[in-house]
Amino acid sequence: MWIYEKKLQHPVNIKNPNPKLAKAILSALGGPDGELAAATRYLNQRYTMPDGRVIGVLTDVGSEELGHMEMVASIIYQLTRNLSPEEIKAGGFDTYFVDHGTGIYPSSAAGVPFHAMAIASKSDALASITEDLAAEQKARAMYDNILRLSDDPDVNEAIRFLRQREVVHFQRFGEAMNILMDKKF
Amino acid sequence: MNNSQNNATNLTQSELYRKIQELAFVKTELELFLDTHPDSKVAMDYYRDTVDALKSYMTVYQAEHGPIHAEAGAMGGTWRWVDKPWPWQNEKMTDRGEDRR
Repeated sequence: MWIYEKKLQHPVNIKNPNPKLAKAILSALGGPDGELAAATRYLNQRYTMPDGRVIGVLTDVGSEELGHMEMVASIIYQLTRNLSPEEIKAGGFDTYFVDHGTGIYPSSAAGVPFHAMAIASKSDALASITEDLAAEQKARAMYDNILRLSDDPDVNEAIRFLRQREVVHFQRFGEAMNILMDKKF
Repeated sequence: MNNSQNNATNLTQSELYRKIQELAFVKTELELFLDTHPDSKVAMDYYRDTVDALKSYMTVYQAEHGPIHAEAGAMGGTWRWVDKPWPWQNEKMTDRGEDRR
């Protein structure tokens, strides 16, 4: 089960609202390669893994991704404070705003609601871990794209942290793959 | 009082909070490493030291500034777990309002 700590894993302190950037960053929350997808993927895959070390990695990385979901939601929350209707329209945020106001809703930047079809979970351990390696690269690439679109240093600081975590997770899943292959699963 | 608690009592709230975030991050990182390297003595020693230091800073922080773990929410006369700020509400944002809850 889960314990919640009332702190962000890494600080998020955004000084300047920016609804256009918030819209792009939605994908890091509810997009196919976002944090909700990552948490859902790993926390579901772990049940049928044959090795405790692999279960450990999936449980602990999956739990960390829930913390990252919180960070991304915090970024979006802070980017959408105190907006006028003009700012909402100018930022292209109006299509999201109609259904959600400035609330937090897991969808992609293009407006596709989060769907579990973004993930795979199979009792075939090698298939699932291979999916996880791909997932971490896709997330890293998604964060690279956000950095291309953003010139806000407060946002970029938090995004770079999240991006670096994907790189580390990729490393851990590589080790999990080796563990599985050594045991010939 | 151990070394970390000694250092901790001289820090401001935001310095303490930042130190806790740093130590908790190191702890998480080591947990992931230990998951795939469970026999690493070096990692285990580093982990134990990190947990000890984190506990000290958490004790000082929660006594002065409110709960990060729910149990610390019962330290005063009322249930402080529900008090603002919640982690996504930073000081620069104006919609937190003046009330504690």
